[in-house]
Amino acid sequence: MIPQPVDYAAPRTVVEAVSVLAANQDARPLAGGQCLLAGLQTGDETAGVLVDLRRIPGLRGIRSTPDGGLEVGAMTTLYELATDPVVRSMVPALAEAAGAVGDPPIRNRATIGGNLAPSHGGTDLPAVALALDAHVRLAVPGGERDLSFAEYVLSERAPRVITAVSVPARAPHSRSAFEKLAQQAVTLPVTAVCVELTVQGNIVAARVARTGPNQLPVRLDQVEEALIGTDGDRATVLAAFADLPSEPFEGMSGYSAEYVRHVTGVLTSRAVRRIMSGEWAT
Amino acid sequence: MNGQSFGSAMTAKEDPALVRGAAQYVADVSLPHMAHMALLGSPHAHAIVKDVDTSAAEAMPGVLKVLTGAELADQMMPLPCIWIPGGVESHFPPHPYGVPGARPVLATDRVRHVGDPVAAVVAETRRQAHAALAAVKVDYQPLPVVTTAKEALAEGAPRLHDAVPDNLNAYWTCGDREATDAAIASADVVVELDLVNQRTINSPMEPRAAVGAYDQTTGEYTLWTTSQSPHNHRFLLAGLVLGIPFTKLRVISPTIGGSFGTKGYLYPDMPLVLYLARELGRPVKWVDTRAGLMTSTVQGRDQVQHVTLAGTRDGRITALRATSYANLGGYPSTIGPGVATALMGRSITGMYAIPAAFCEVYAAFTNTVPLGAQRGSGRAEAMFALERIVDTYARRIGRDPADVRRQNLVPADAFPYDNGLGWTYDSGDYRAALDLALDKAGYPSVDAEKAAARARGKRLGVGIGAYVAICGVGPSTRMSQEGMLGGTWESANVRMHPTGDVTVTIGSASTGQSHETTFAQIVVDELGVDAGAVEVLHSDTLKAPYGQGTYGSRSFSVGGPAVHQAVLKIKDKIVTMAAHMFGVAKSDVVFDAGKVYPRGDGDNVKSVQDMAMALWYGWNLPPGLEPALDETVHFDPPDFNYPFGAHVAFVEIDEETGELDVVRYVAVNDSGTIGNPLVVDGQIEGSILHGLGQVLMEAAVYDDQGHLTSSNLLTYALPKATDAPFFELFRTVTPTPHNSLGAKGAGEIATVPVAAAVANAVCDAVADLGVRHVDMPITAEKLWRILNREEAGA
Repeated sequence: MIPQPVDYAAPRTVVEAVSVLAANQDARPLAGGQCLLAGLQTGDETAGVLVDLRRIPGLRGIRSTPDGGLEVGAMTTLYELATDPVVRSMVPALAEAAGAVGDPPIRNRATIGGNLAPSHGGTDLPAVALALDAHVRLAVPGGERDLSFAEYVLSERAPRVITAVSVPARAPHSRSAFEKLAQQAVTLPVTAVCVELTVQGNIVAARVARTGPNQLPVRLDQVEEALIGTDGDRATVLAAFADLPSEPFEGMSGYSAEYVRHVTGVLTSRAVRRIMSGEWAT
Repeated sequence: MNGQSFGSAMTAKEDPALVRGAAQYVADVSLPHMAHMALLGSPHAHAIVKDVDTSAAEAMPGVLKVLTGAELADQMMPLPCIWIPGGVESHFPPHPYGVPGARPVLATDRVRHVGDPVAAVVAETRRQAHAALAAVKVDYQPLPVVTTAKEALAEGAPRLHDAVPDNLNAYWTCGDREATDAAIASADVVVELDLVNQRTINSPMEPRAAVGAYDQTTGEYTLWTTSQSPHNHRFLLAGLVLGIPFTKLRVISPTIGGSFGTKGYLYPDMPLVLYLARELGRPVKWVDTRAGLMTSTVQGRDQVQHVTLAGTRDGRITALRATSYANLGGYPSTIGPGVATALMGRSITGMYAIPAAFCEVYAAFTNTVPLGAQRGSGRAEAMFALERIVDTYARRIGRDPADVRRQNLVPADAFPYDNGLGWTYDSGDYRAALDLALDKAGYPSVDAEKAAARARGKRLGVGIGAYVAICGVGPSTRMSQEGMLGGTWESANVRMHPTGDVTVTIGSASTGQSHETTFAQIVVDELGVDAGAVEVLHSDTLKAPYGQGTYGSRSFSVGGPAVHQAVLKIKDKIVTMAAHMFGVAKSDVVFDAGKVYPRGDGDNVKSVQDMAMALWYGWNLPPGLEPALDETVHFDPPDFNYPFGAHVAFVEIDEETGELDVVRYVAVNDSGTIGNPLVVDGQIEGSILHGLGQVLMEAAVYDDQGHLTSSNLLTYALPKATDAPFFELFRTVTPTPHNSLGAKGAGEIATVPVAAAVANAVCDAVADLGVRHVDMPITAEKLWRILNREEAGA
């Protein structure tokens, strides 16, 4: 098929964008187009109106907040995220995940907001957002809402635009890492995992989240619990995964849930190993 | 021949336009009042078409016409198949060559694969045409579906064509069955393998396209199309499909964005745009989509093989036997049945002198997209079987696979060598190529590397793939014996203009192989002119001399000699004229570096430009000499040529995840004389990547209802630049005696051994686990399951 014509709006303000979305049930916000344009080509996505967010000023940029957190404009590109020194030192998993998306042309267009917006779209960044307890600021009709990413994932699709993503200050002695197994055809993940550990001798706190195609991103509580009090050795991690049910790892055509679960465990153990072997770990 | 231009790594003349996006493709053709066609493909793999209701679609905005198979039934004939396995007597004419099951241009009563075209919609715009497809109401009665060759041949299988009992297009054999069976029965060692050479989808960057125009005042048709064979397509379309005078059809293939075999075939869109252009009185354009390509265009490989090798305990191969089930898809494509039989079967002994060999192929119709060529077609399937089983044999007898290969090579003094299966190898030094590859690879001292990899959690494996790949189709009479209905020679015209500029017009068509660069290089040194003075024209039947096109790595080794001989004729005529002007014998004229002069009289010099002008004026010509420099040569090679080589792949398998990296790839290829090493190396790198695609990721997957589940590039994995290893390329040069350049095929040959080399490397990496074979594509999960068995058993 070839895509049929769609209407196009290029609002100059967030309020205007939300009002176009609210007025047209089949309107879809367009950021970098990483997911939406591909979906329109295959027919997996439909849109009556594309609401292009790229002309709205103020949605792009990375800044530290006074409380030690990070705020990222939703239209910040993945290239910018991957190369930003503050992101790389504070939340390296976010930079790693952004840098693992697609290829340079895609990373130059794709945005953090767009990568997070399709909450079950099989993209990479939801694992990071969930593990790091990121929040998304949403423009909605009549105002703004702030949701944790965990809440966002479960919320109803509605007329709304992600305008910013915030990451709270990290606990002392914490560091994160991201790992993925990419699909062969495209670089979307078969499975992707984000791990953040707080380390004082052994692991005192762990945050582990996973995403993959056709699955909501999830925190892996059992794995987190298994890590606490250990030095994160490989056997501990793999044993924790072996205990998980395999169903949440289904959904990737051509791969068994059993394999995806195993690989997620391996990737988690590699992320843990990278964190534990880092010089900063004290 | 050699010189400053021929054999040098000139950058391709074509490239600036290509990289700037300035080249003109079929999709760029735009004509006044042009209308646009879209094709409605069947959603069913097998169904009776009970009724097609076009009325709603005809009422859609912009729609000009909705065409169905019923209207076409007495307007045009089915698409011919011109390569009929088994070397049948020429059936020419009548059409359709006695090939039952030939594809109608639009389905009439039945559809036989998903995407089988049922209707064509023409509208003012491309979007309108596509939008109206959904309004064409087709009443289908689904039929049982069969998608594999073996199942199609089984008793009680759904029959696709009333005229084809048991869905069997051809049972084809070569070699000596009795001697082979006897050798196997009496052998010390017999090894067997069951192999699946999976279906692949050719994916050139440019999908196919066609634009048809009709001039009512002259009755002339023009077809712009993505064709590897414009002349051949003109001949087949005019005479055999449309039934119009040959002289009234012009076929033009502008820049083609890759093909890999797919664009040498006749497709329904070609006659459709011509017919509709006449019916509507307007040019009609069709451009495929990327997703459309997945079911509109011939697919590759798809052979299920059982191969048996017999030998002595000390490494001497005594017999080879192969049975192959080839899946032709729903219809016989233009040359698909020949590709699946002869190109594969006669090639199965590769580099080895095997006393007894036999191959049989069952070619069957199934409810899948028709099969055609894919780069290295037939030969890649043969070499995968051969090189896998040679490794299996070596392991069985506890010998190094490299040594077993060396022991069985056709020796360098044995050429011409009759392989007993129908091919006579022209020339070669197989030992030199194999040894060079092994030497460059550092084989076999890889034990330390393997141990080091193991310490990193990786299993290192090394695999060899050696090959011979028949190319240069070909000697026309020999091809007729193979069942090819048509000549397979090439032609070239060389004109030297009064200015000294040269136009070379070739019959072969480029699909991206830099013809305009390499063919010019043949001329530049011979005439001693600047490269900038030579233009190369091709791919327009009104301008170019006849030729059969580019396929089977034939352009340079069949078309190149035609250019070479034409330019030698030009030179001879210049010398004849110069002898007359100088008043000396022809043998006393020196032709050197673009100048002629009487031997021993260096002051009396004429440039070739002077001579071109003199012959253009035509004043005071010697008796019998015609004016002007304009020579055409048709070249029909005396036999095929047989490039060869040896590749060594190094793979590392992650022990935790099964992920595989090709960490080194050493390739030695011998294409005889090379016209432009830069162009050839580009083809070699692309060919290797093509092979890596098949062995590691590509697979056209049909479900049991015949739906293609790998139907777009999100689900059909193609290798990317990041999947490419750093190639270590080397060559040996063994000219062929069969043409004046010494050139052999080059464009596809390096695809041929890749899958075997990588699969052999994988099996080497996991040899201690008792693994005999891993089916392609060799994915991480498959390898993980193999490695996991080790852990389970440990």
